[in-house]
Amino acid sequence: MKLGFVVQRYGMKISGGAELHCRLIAEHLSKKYPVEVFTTCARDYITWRNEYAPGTSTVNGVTIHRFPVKRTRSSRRFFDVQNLVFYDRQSLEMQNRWIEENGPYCPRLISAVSRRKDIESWILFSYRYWTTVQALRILSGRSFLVPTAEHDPALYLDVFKEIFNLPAGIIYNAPEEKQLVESIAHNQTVPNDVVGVGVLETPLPGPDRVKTKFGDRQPYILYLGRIDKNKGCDHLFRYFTRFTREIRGDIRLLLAGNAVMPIPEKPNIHHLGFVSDEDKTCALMGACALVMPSQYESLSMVLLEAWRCGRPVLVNAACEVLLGQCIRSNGGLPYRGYEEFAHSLQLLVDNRSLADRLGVQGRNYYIRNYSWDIIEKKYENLLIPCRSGER
Amino acid sequence: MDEQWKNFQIGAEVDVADIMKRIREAIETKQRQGIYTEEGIAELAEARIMEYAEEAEIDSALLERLRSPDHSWNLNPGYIISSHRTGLKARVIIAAKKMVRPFVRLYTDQIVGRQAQINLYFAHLIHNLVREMTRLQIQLTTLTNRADRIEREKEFLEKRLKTLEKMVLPGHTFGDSDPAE
Repeated sequence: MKLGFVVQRYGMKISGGAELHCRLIAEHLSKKYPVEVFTTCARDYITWRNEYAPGTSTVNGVTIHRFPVKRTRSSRRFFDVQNLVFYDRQSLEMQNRWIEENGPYCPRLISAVSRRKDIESWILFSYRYWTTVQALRILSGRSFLVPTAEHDPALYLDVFKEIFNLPAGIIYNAPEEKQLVESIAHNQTVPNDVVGVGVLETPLPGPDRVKTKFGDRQPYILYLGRIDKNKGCDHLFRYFTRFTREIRGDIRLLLAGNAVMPIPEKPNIHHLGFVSDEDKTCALMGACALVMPSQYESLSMVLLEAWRCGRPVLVNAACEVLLGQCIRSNGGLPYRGYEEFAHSLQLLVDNRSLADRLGVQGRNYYIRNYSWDIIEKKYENLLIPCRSGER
Repeated sequence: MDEQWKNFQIGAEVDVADIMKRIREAIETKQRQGIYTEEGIAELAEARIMEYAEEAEIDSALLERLRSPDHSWNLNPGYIISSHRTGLKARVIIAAKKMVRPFVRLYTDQIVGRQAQINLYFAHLIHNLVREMTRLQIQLTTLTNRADRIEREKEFLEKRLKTLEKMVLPGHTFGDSDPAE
């Protein structure tokens, strides 16, 4: 069975959630099946500027075909169209224009996909991009969509109701995502499964290595990922500063990831910048908890990474997926508002045995649901009936 | 809440829903006593604004824009020209609209700009009013609770006084008759 992947960006240096998700799945499935990835030359998801060379190359044993983006994204034009489409009722034509403006607009990628009749099953990532929508329209019966959908005004556009009914199967990240999409698109008849993704299984360091790297005198909580207002970092800074002022001044907040918003200059907040996978694992293992303040997540791979390391999580309960993951796993505390954040954080810091117990429960949940053999099996169960023409 | 979590008892299996229930109970107890900080009041005011918006059944997308700090909800003289028609007809209409737009904006920009400023001012004013109202309501609740407590203590002290009077001077009650008698 030959597999094709379509994704807006691809590469070792691309840290976006959906892109990393796609790379990990492609790399794992490539051990059993021939896999080819069709993507753009873009690295930056804001402008879609061509940065990688077009052509065929190999990344971690997976064949990649890159195509140049024909038109970079104009923020002004995009937001003009977006404001109209999101906040006023607009025709399907205008909604399609929003998809085109959102990009990456890459007609050569779509032509290449349409020519590849030899590829039996296609896995398409992220419903909101032009490449995914166009690929779905030409491949519907052979395509599997990984929507990575979250509460987002785009999801409510009429044009996506059609899109969610096109694929041969849908691979959801969480039960909440499935419920959300089905309640909007009424696509219950499309075969689907809640699968998600595993994480990079870097070796877990010993306690001595963790102590040397991040110290064990002053407790800390860890935030991993893009430091962005859209990820809830503004409220995390507000809550954390208030917590250190009113309750405990000896806690640190470590941030690992690229910052796209200003980070408050406080003695308790430390920006580590981009960290290696080994350092990330060390930082996770030494943390009281991982904090995830985002309100919009379709899975959150960093939660899985924290659970793999046996650490609990502190998450924003306004995000249904994060709340659901915490309740199902019993591996973390979901907060609503500052008071719950402060009580939960204090509980995790003061009661180390409780924090450790939550971490162990999280790890068991990760092993039961997100081990790579389980993820691969679920993909195969969906893809193989398509190959044998059962659909 | 400093010491309470250190002694939080855990069983073999930790139930997150149960922990969160206990945390919420602790918060409720604190709030009944009227213990709020400035930021707590701001958070409560924000929740109240959301409640009002939900009662008014405002479109959730518009509500999100109203709450965003970038004022993208406000009137904007710049707009995108489009047509629901397609083909040549659409192109002609869009070209005509683009030709006319500078003349229209010559007259409308000043009015739209002023209205946008007024909208912004009212939004700011209403936001602050809700915050002040929340603060006053919290103060009122705290004072009412305090008055109730004082009232209860007063009743208790009166009863205690009467009991003591009976013990000291059986058959005589102070306050029932003129002390001068």
